[in-house]
Amino acid sequence: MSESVIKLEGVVKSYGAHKVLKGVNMDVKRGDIYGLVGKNGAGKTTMFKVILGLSDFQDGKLSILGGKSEAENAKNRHNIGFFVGANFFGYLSGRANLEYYRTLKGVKDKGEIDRVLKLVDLSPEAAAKPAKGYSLGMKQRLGIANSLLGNPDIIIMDEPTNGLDPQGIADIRHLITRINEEEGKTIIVSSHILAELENTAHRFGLLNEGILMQEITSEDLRDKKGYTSIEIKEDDLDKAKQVLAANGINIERVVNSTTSLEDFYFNLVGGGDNA
Amino acid sequence: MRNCMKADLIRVQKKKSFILMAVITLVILSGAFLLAKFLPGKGGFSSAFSMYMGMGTGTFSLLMGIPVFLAVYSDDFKSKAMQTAIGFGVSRTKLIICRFLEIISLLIECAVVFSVVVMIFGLAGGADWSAIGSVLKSLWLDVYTSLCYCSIAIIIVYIMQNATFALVIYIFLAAGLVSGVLSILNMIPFLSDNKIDLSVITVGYMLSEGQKSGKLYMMFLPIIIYILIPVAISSVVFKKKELEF
Repeated sequence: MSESVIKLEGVVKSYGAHKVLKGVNMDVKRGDIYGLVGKNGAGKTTMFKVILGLSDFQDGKLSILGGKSEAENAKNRHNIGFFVGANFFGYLSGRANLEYYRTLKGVKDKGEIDRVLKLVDLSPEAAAKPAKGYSLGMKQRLGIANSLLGNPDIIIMDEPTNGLDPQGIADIRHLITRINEEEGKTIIVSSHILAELENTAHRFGLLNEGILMQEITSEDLRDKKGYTSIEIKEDDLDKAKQVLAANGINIERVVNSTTSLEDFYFNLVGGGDNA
Repeated sequence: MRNCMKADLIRVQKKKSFILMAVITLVILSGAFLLAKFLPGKGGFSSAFSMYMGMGTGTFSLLMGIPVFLAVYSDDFKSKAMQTAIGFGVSRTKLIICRFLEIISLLIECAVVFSVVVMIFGLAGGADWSAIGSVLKSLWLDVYTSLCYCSIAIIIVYIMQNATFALVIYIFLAAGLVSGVLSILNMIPFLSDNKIDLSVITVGYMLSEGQKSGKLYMMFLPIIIYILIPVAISSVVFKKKELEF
């Protein structure tokens, strides 16, 4: 069984009387792409802030890379790269921003910047421009490049495809898979667009109103057969309706489909198209 | 902590507004020199140099203090670099100390450059050493008071996670508005009758009294009252603060 790299046990986080995390348990294994899915306001960003030490929590336990105390967790955070939002100095170029964070993280190798820029497909010309002029897609890439600086074992990405066009979404999805497969990173990625993570993540944490309702692997998800679909030729549609009525249907192909993550999630928490 | 400081100091040196304000201050000093050179008055160059240059260096806490304060604190919150550093495992207390050490480094760096400029101008114009010395003394006292004011203002930075309100407080202090208000309050009959002087709490009073009386501890008192205590308060108020991304 793989080693747990991030573990939350019964974590409670409240803002006054409002509980945002209601006893969350989460277990991220080394080498996983862990998809944290949930609606807006479900508590995804708060969970990330708790993991990163940006938010205090009232109850429960947090362990980062086996850390048993906050001091150990703080030390182990050196091994986490994260992209939780744009964190750049607009007047500096993309490269100068990465240079800033390279120095801050104590990464000695100056070639590290070229390595991460190449990984996220950000050209040297683009990296030379001031960050304030970057498109959203470029900002996301620069943010991910920053998270990769220093070769950390764990990468956290909060809604990395937010606001991107379909091509940008596909690029980021491909990038996440590549970083996991080629660099061997453990990746925790959140999204409120469930279909987006379905083909990328190995494990999913389904978060709803501050409760991690279930963790499920992609294999388990595939095994959950939901419905059987019948495909017919488009030309036969009208005819099919008549034939259906007459019990003489022309079936060209029958496909057994697995339950989509989206369906599984909405069955669990309610909502979706049927809400 | 060292890396954190190094990264930030390199960054600030690349900031155009910081460089621009340093150039403006240098232009003001050059103007003061030209005034002393060509309009020396009855007291001669040394006296005029001391007066005009003193006025020039007197702008330090505003002209250099503001851009340094903004470059360190405002950019830190705007860019979320602070959140990134904390997420990377840097402790919040270390970060507060680190940022204040950056303020000290940047103000001292500027003051060293201006000191050299003052000495060059003074020697080139033929000012005597006592005139140059008095200008340098007022410059470095201004650096000292700027540090004290910054330290008070950072409490607001960490409470509100916003440098704008803190900057207003800094400007109030650096422009002498608080001293002015205290002087007005001193006129309240109860205070004046009992010879209670509220201005004793100001940095300027402590420094000038320290100089006049030769009591060195008066010169160091602001370090405790205006630097160490505010930094400690900032550390306490910031310890459990929720940081937004």
